[in-house]
This record gives sequence, structure tokens and C-alpha cells, in this order.
Amino acid sequence: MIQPQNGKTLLCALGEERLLRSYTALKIKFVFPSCVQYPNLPVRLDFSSIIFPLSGETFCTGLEFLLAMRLNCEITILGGVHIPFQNSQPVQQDKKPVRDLKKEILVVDPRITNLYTGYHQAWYYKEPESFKPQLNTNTNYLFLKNVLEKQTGLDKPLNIPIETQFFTVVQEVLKERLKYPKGSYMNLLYKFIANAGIGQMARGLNQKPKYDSQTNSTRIQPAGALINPLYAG
Amino acid sequence: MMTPAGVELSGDLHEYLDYFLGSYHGGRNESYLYGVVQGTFYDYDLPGAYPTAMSLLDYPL
Repeated sequence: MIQPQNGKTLLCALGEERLLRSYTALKIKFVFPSCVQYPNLPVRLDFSSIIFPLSGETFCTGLEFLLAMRLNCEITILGGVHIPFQNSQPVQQDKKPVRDLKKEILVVDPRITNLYTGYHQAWYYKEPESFKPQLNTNTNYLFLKNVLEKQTGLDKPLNIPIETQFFTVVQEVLKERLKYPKGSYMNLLYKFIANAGIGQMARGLNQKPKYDSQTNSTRIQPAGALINPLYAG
Repeated sequence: MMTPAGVELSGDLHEYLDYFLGSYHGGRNESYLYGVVQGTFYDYDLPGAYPTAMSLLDYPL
């Protein structure tokens, strides 16, 4: 459990890398600088309406919190949960060699290589102690300068082996999909299988009425066997 | 706690689950600009967004 504290304190304590490799959900109060055009934190108004205001109180995930902090948002943590991944620490290169998946992937296709490089690009190395929050956010110039400084600091990818279980599943489905020409029935079927995987994790989670073709009416969708709030969030 | 199999006692599990249930939202669909577009505009799409996001997940500790 995460105790009430300042957002900067939490980010400095956890670090961006640990935040990325974990299931984190927070209840927060937030205030974005007025120069932020598109705030990223969702606030639920009622059952079916969500807005993205400059300030408010809401639940959010760890990744949304991280993005908001990069936008210089002032955040107060009211509570939360932090569950790290099993392999939350990157494996050192001398202990375990990094697999070269580019050589292992037999089918060379931009979509698979994008998946490979996308994974690595998602985990940029950044020293936690080098994080220095900018306090003065009154002008667009300072805001942009801060964003650019942070972006230029994120150019060193982590060498962590890709061994998550879901990556293996996605890789297998994509391999099968690419055996068939684009737009063909089997190609689209495997696309649906890949998308349905993550859809099933959240099926029926929000207890929202949806159209049911069997009864030609709207009813609350029942939860599935693969539902998991951690994965869905 | 309500599950597909019925209502079950879950101890203090609800304290943890409530945070994750509250932070779950669907995709964001929004028009940032309204009206007739003069000139070039770009429509960005992320191919394979769901599978890519799923491949980043790992088992919780």
C-alpha cells in the first residue's frame, strides 16, 4: 500500500523504471500548469462520462501518473497500491546474456520488428537521482524546456531480456498472422485473436450495459474467466 | 466481492482491488479541433496497440 504523500516524493522513491515495471494504481489530487493543452488524467463525472480537466481528484494508473509528472503536474497522493513485476529488476548482462530476438525471429516483418524495438524503446534508462522536478512552470518556455531536457535524457535503452509470458503469446500469434496475406480471412482472424486477448482481461470489469445480439437488448456484460483488474488497468 | 461464481468473502482484498477498478477506463476518443480543416492534417494510428501493450505485462510479484 502507498501512503498519502507528495507526487514528487513517490516518483523519487520508486523511480521511473520501477513504476514502469509494476502494477500501480493511485488515488490522487492534481493540478496541471495552465499551459498544458491536453491533460491526461481522466476524471469520471458519472456512469458514462469522463473528462480530462486541468485539476481534480481521481484514480489513475502508475503510467498515467508518470506522464502527468512529465507534464509538470502538481500531484498529491491520497493512497494507492504498488505491485512490482516478478522480474522487476533488469538482468545484468554478465549474469545472463541478452537474447538477440532479431535473429530468433524467422519471419522478418516490420510489425514484429516494431514490437521488438518498441519494447526496448519503452524502457529507457534514467538514473532516479537525476530527476529534478521543475518548480517554476508559469511560462510555456520553461515548460517546453523541461520537457525537452527530459526527452534528451531518455536516449539510453535498457538491456533487459524479453521474457514476459504475454510477449511469447503475442509473438506466436503475430507469426501465425503474417503467414497469410494482408486482408485475408485468416490474417484478420489472428488479428482478432491478438486483440481479443487483452479485451478479455477487461471484459465486464466496469459493469456497463452493452448491446447483446442474442437477446436484441442491452444488458450488463458478465465477467469472463480471463478477467483481471491488474492487467486491465 | 462479486464474482461470476457468486459473492465471496475476500478479507481486505477489496482495499487493493478498488484502486485498480477505479483506475480502469476505456480508450480515449476526442476531437481536439472542430470545424472545416484548411490544408493538411494527419491521422495517427498505432498498429497492434493492444498486443504491444499486452506484451509489456508480466506476472505480479
